[in-house]
Amino acid sequence: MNGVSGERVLLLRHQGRLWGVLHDAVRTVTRGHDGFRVWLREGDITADHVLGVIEDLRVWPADGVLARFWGEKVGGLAILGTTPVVVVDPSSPPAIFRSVSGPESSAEPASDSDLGPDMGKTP
Amino acid sequence: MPVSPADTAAGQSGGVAPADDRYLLVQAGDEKCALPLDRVRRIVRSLSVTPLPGASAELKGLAEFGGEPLTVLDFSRLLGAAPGASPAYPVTVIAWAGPDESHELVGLQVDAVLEVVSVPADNIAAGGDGIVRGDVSLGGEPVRVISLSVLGSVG
Amino acid sequence: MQTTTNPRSDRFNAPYLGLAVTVVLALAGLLLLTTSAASGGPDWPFGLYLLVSIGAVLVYIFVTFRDHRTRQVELEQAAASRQQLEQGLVTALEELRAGDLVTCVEKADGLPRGLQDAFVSAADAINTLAQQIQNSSIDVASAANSVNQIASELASGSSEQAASVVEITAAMEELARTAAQIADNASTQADLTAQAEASGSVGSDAVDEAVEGVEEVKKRISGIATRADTLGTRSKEIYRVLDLITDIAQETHILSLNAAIEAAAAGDHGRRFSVVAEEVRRLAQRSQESVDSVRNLLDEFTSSIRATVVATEEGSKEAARVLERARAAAAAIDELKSASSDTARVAKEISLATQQQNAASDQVVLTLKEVSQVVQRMADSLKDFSGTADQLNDLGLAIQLVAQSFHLDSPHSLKRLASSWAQEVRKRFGSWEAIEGMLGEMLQDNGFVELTYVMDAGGGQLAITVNEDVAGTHDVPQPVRSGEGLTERPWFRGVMREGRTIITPVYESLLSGEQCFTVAAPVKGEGDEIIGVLGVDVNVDSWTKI
Repeated sequence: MNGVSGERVLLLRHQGRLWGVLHDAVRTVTRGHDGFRVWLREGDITADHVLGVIEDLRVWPADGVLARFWGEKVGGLAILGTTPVVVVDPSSPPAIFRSVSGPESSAEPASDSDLGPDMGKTP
Repeated sequence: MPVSPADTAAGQSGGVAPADDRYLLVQAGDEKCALPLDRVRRIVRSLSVTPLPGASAELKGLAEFGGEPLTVLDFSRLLGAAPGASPAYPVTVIAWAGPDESHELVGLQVDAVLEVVSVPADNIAAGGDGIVRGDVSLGGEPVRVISLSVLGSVG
Repeated sequence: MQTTTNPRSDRFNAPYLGLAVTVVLALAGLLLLTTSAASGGPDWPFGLYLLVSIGAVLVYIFVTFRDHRTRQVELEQAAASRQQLEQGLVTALEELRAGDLVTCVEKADGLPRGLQDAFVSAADAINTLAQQIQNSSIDVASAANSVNQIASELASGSSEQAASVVEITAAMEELARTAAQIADNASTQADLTAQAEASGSVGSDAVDEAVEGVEEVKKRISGIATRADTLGTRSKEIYRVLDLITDIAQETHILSLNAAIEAAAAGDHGRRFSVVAEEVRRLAQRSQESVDSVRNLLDEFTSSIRATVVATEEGSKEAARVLERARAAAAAIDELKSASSDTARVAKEISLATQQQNAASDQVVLTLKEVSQVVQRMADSLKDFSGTADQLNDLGLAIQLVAQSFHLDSPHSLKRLASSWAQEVRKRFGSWEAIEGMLGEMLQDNGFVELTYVMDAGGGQLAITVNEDVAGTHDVPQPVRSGEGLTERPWFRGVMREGRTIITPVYESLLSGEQCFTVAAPVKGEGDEIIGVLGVDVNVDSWTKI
């Protein structure tokens, strides 16, 4: 992803911060007892809340100063209202997205119909 | 706020020093630093910064400026300056970082912004290749001349 | 002398027998004569008769002469016996007359049994009577002594009572004076208390004013504190304004810097704008400096306010303490006033009570004077009574001396005592030292004797022993010691004359100066002649107290 682009982003809230995942990278979202699980093409991440999908969210690249001072791979940065949103790199999400729970969450849902009720709404 | 020789000169002659010689004097910890004025985009207060998990100490977090995400750094830690008195009005200097052709804005959180000063290049004692380009004495006080070119993408 | 025959029957029998024989003979003769005459009988009866008659007459004469002789002898014996009896009776009666009931009984030993018994009975009766009189006299003397003592004690008591009455009277008068003084003091105290009460009221008013003043001060301090708080609040508002101005100055400062930045970015086109921006920056700087200056001033002002608040708080506390003390003073003054009122009331009561006490004291003094008069009358009566007791005492002594005039076989009989001593003296007569030693021992057993002495019948030798306990420190007068003129004394002459123990009347002793009498007894030799005279001076006072 180069330069600013409008993307379809799944918006998450996790540990008090807004996170985004390119919708294309999301296979499905399931809900567990300790939150949500976003199933990606490769792997999955957990989130406290799934806020919805933002259509045409402007995403800036984050390989500048941020990359110098933050070791996490970032897919991009966005602004939602006045709040910064970190768009994760689906291939290497930040460490905080590592699942706390164990094997129970490893079961992949069967279809997209398992997405939560908030899907598709702009928070 | 100390009165710099540039203030006196500008007041007396009514003239303005060349842009390359003009710097924004800021307080970072216990040091005064001169940021190149042509790199300074804006000075803002009360910037809401969202910290990032696992970030280094220099990285304060992310903020929003002009509808765009802004990386905010702790300029005192960046310089390695000793902490000074608690800042009465901490401000964020939004400047362009990186090479001249880069337009990546970065926010530099400082303790205070003082004034715009003129520092002829000849007066600057050369430093190194790092963020501190050199040193100069203004009003009897040492001032570190900053280069923001070294900030920016890793490569 | 006693006979076993009955001379009275013998005397009566002989004459009567003779007469009877005579009558018988006469009758017989007559009968014979008659018969003979009648019968013309022989004469021999007549001769027989005559013979018989002559024989009878001779017999009668013999018998009668014998009886007459016997009776004559008996009469002589009876006369002698009667004389002896009379002599013995006289002797015994003499002793009885002399009061020697011991010797008279001895002298009655020669009397006929019946007479002796009668005499002894009479002597015993008199002895008993005399002893009763002696004992009674002792009781009378003792009673008189007791009465005298009681009278003396009563008199002494009356005197003491009179003295006590005088003391009590004096004390009551002193009490009355003291009560009057107390009344005066109480009255003065009441006046002073009234003054104190008035002063207390003034003080109370002053304290009330002080309390009001302090409360006013407290209110004002509170007002100052309130205003200080208000100033503090205003200061805070000013601080907020200053903060706002500072904030604005900062914003202006930043704005000016941003303007400078924009001006720099505008290049030459922004040059004038950068000047403006610089001016704005300076304005902001000056504003900040002004704010700092005002803040400094406000800091000082706030500090002053704070100090003022502290001062007012301390002043308020001090005012509260002063108020507390003033209220305590007011309360104390109220208590003082109350106490003063009570004191005044009590002083008045004391004054009234002392006045009543004065009246009572006067009454008591009057009563005491009456009592004193009564006591005095009683003392006077007691003096009379004491005089009567003295008379009784004298009477008792007189009775005792009368009783002592009898020589009784009684331990109380002085004559018996003197007689027994005289017998002991007789055993030692000739050895004057032995006599004095014996007399000394006798004195120790008889404390009422103050002096004993023995003289020979000629009044020459003298043994004398003094009872130091009775005589005290008095020396034996020289005339007594030398025996000069003792032969002229009544006791010596009485003994020599009467030959028996005598008791002199009471006289004043040369030795002790007190009343005494002398019991003098004869010291008789083997021939019952008087070889010396024993004198025993009896101290009346010591003797009557036995």
